[in-house]
Amino acid sequence: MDWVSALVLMLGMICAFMALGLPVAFAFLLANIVGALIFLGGAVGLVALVRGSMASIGNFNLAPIPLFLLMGEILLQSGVAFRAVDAIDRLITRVPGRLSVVAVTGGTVFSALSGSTIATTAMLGQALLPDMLKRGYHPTMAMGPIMAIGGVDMLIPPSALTVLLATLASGVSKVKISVADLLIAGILPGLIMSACFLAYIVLRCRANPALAPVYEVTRFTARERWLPFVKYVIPLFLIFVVVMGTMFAGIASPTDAAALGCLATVILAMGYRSLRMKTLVACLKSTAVVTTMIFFIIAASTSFAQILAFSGATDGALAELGKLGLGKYAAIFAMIGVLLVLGCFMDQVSMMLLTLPFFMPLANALLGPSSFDHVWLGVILLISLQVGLLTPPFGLLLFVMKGVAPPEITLRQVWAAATPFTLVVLVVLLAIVFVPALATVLVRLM
Amino acid sequence: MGATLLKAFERVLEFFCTVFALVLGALILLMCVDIAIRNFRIGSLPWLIELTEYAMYAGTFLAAPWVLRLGSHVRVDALLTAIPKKAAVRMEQLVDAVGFAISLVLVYFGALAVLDAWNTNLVARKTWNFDEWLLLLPIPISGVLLAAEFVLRIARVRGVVADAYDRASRASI
Repeated sequence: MDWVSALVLMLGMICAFMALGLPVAFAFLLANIVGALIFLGGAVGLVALVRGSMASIGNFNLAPIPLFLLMGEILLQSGVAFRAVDAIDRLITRVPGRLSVVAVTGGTVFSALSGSTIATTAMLGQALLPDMLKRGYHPTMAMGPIMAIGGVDMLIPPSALTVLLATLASGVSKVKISVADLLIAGILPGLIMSACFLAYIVLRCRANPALAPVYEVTRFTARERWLPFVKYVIPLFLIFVVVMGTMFAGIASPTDAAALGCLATVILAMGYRSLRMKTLVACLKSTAVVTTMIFFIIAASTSFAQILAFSGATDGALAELGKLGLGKYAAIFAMIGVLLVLGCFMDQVSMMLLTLPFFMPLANALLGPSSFDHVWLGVILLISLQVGLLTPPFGLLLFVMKGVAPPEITLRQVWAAATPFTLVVLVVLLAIVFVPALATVLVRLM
Repeated sequence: MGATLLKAFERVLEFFCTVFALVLGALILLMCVDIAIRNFRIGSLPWLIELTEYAMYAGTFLAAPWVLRLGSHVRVDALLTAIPKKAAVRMEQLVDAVGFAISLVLVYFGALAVLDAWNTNLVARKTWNFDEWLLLLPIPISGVLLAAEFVLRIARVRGVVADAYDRASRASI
């Protein structure tokens, strides 16, 4: 079979069955079973496929994923995250679009503690959205910041998706991307994105105050305003310091840092008397479900890259791309374009598994052996994947928001609310493409 | 009788997921102990990496049927939600039948891999020496449970299609 037919068969089968509604993991399994029968020698290939799936998720580099997810679950289910948002709410008073600003600031703080994008959006949606709508905030100003800041969670560590991207990319790339490097590289772009959201909110609300009507904020004494911040927010920064500080200083691996972060989170939640054994077990079970969901897709797609390579599809596609004479930037924009289109239909894990077998060899050829350039590319891919969370019809955060919003809010309103913030994300993405130092400066400092 | 069996089946699926959850908790504790004793130069737990790897792999396979039961495996249901419910029911049945067939392949070739490892006395030699057939066993077990769950999904297809609309409460990163 020629490489074009192989490529069409493999990708076509996955996309067709995904579109029909077969769970992604099973769509990958189906394509791999057919691929193994045709390209890996039939039954022998299928036994190898089964064995390979064991090795794919029995990989210590993936261990931070459940740990980062658990941190977010504990903070969410124990109610500590809500108290932190309340504390930030008391501090921010005289700014246009006050509650939207609180959402972005609170979301940024929670992003630095939670490995889960969806947890951030759900928490902020529950904590702030009813109040925003009650006070007459336009749905764009009420829901947009909450969804957008949920996406920032992918960039600001601890982030489960960052760990996944670094691990999966390294599996199909000659130049490895260190998990610790990519986690650290996401900090600055994440903060820049938050700052841009804040600037957009303030400028828009100043230009059109009807978007976020000013209201009389309850007056608190300085002590009443600052004490909750000291009590509920500053200790959360200590968790961030434990996780990122130990990694940044090079004294802990990402898994060690994540384990210490989990321990610190449990101790903190217990210190607030907010974590009972029952809640902890519930958090562990939620974490096990999400971990299984992610790892099962990885296990199911194990042989996908090998089958593509074996069938000649990877080399064939790369050779064709080579003939186009794409430069570094053209290739990167092509990658971004592919992810933006796929992001409308697919989840982030599937997108990574489908595209990285092509993207990483292409990047190896165009970027050379520099690990910094690959970290830069990793950040660009993460942001491109993040946009997929906000684009219809499959953008997951849109549905999370619809789920926590009052029933009268339509899905169309939710989409409209996400659009301006998606454009802000794209502007930041462009900035990082043309100023790579934004993504690599912290890594170079390590 | 049927209801009792179904309940027992559900309990087995949830049991595996709960065990995975508790093992994750235990691993975190062990990791913290390992970091502490390494830094105080008392020793280390050199087997912890291997244990974590096996736990993540076995836990994933054994908890996957429960995740399927919860409807939490990631899927693209844009088409499913766009077509009339009657057509969605038929499509869901088709998809579940495909899932059932894939699970049977997993059972058959997983069992072949186990038998092969058993017959050839393969041993995974790392910190521990583990019989490889034991390590491979979760795959056919998972396949059997997944196949059974896909059959049950076909049987309760109307409920499954209704669940598909509830995307906000679905598990995700």
